[in-house]
Amino acid sequence: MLVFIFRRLLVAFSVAITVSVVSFMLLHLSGDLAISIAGPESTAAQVEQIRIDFGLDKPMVYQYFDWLWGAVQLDFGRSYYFQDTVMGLISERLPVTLTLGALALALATVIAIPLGVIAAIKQDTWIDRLALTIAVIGQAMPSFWFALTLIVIFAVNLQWLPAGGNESWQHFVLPAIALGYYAMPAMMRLTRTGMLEVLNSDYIRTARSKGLNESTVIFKHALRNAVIPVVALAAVELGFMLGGSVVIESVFSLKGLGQLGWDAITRNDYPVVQAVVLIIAVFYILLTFLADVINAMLDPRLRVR
Amino acid sequence: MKRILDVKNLQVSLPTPNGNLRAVRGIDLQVNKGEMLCIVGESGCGKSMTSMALMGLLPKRAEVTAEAMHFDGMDLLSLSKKERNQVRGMRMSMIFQEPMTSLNPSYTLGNQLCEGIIKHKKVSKDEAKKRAVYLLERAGVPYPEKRLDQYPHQLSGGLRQRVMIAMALMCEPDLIIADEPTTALDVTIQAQILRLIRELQQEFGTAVIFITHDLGVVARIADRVAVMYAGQVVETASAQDLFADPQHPYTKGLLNCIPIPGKTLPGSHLESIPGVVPSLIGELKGCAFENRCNASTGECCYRSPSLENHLGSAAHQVRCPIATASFQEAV
Ligand SMILES: Nc1ncnc2c1ncn2[C@@H]1O[C@H](COP(=O)(O)OP(=O)(O)OP(=O)(O)O)[C@@H](O)[C@H]1O
Ligand code: SF4
Ligand SMILES: [Mg+2]
Repeated sequence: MLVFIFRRLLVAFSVAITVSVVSFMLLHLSGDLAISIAGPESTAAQVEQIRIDFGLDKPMVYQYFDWLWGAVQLDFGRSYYFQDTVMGLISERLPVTLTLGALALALATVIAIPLGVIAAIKQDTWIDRLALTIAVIGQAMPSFWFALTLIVIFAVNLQWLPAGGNESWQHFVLPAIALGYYAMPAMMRLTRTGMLEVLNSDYIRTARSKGLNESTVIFKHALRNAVIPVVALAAVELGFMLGGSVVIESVFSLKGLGQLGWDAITRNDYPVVQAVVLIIAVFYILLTFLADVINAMLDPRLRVR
Repeated sequence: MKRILDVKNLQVSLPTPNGNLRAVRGIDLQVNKGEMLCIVGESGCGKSMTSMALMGLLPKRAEVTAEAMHFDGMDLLSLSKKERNQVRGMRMSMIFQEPMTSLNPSYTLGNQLCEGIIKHKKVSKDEAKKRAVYLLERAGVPYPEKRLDQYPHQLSGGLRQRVMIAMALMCEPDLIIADEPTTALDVTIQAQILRLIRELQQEFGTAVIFITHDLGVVARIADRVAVMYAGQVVETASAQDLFADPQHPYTKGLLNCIPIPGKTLPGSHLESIPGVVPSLIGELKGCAFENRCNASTGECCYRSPSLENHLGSAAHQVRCPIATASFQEAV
């Protein structure tokens, strides 16, 4: 198990380095940063000054290691636009997005797994069809539209919950539902197909031949195996939610990482963009790593590999 | 001798896109306490369907009917779900053809061996483990204590099948159904497992229904034999009588297909029965074996033969009027 974890960590680490290089390169290759920072009305001398101020005249490799050295010490420099360090901005915004993502994922899991199990057990009945319909609607509906519908119903008409902001936990309820509903269908379907496959397997037949209760057969023998791929999917979904919470965050005016990233991109605030990209990527990698470890705990065959 | 299983006119059909597939078409089976009954027949003749019907493991869409399905005096078909669960696993258990996939990959062998007896006999975990170790040892699994904490993927196919055998014995069942338990194994291991099942069966006095397509296997272990063809029993007899005095043309054909040590020269041609099994969808007209039978007469296409006593004894029955009649002529 330790060897397994070590190996996975090694992989995760090399992926993180690759991502940092790619994100660094992309921004620098997308045009002359000094010009875009200086703005269209600036003179050549101003551009030159900016180039030197920001260290953009140095060789690319030097710039990269300079930035990386800062990054490992969690120093991403200062924002060009906001009056703050990049780290200050991120430490303010990240918890909001993490809370939102975790809530949404919890919500999605709590609904998706039982629904998937029931749909599989009641395959081809109206319950199964209802579950699939919910899933299709979830996958087809644009998330901003669903978010707006939630606001209209629960914030405007019923006035149960606030429509925007991030002052209290109530502010997170609607965004979490909106984001979670987006992640739920894929997990539900995967649980369902997984359960159907496992329920047809030889070892379920063996379990039944031992005269175990149906609940033991389903929850002990089937679900444990069916849920393994769902764990990996959940980690990926959470990664998507961190990156993709931009839409939800702007609809609900949540001051999260997604919104910060969006603001930074539109304002050429490239230290912020790089930091946001890197942090989301690192979280994504960490989640994948975590999913691998959980998978190994669930599936003894994976531990040896 | 005490009868443990008595099945009359068992029928199993499955809906398919092309119509109802009648996999089992009226089977009678009797098994006595401590007896080894072999069911033998070609692939697809309904052996697994029969055993799954006896265990109550068929999918819901399968339709099972029988005039009688008595297990130790109980009518299996009228039991509630809970009572059926109690019988299955505790009083009858099963060994499957696929040792590689029949164990749950996510749980230790100890867990899987013990869960049945803990549920059915309310024994403590320690007692269950003790019995598991004892049976693993009896089933020829080396280092039995260590195995309890191992996972299925750590064992070879032959060892896994030994674990399955131990598992089937955990609750001291009266009947074990072994559905081609050696087919997926290497030849040398096949012989070991076969010997093991026979030994344990005699030691524990368990009745066994042993399913195989190999008459060679039957010759080595069976007390009684039922030969199946296209969802029906075509001949049933004690192993001795069946090999000494086969009656049904299908049985004779199968016997010509097995090499006899000393008699069949190495490399010499082994006969196989030409022709294909009829489709099991819908009704069959006449004798199911007619298209492959070398003794068939014009009548065979129209009349469905019934299982008749041979030499006036219910111990040897044959589903072929021609075979029975020709014998009567000879007398
Ligand atoms: N799930 C299924 N759906 C439809 N038909 C099936 C199904 N399983 C088996 N059959 C059909 O039922 C018939 C009997 O199958 P069964 O598995 O009992 O044969 P068998 O005698 O055990 O053969 P084998 O030696 O290959 O195991 C076959 O014709 C087969 O095609
Ligand atoms: S009834 Fe006719 S076709 Fe069928 S086995 Fe006997 S001889 Fe052959
Ligand atoms: Mg079979």
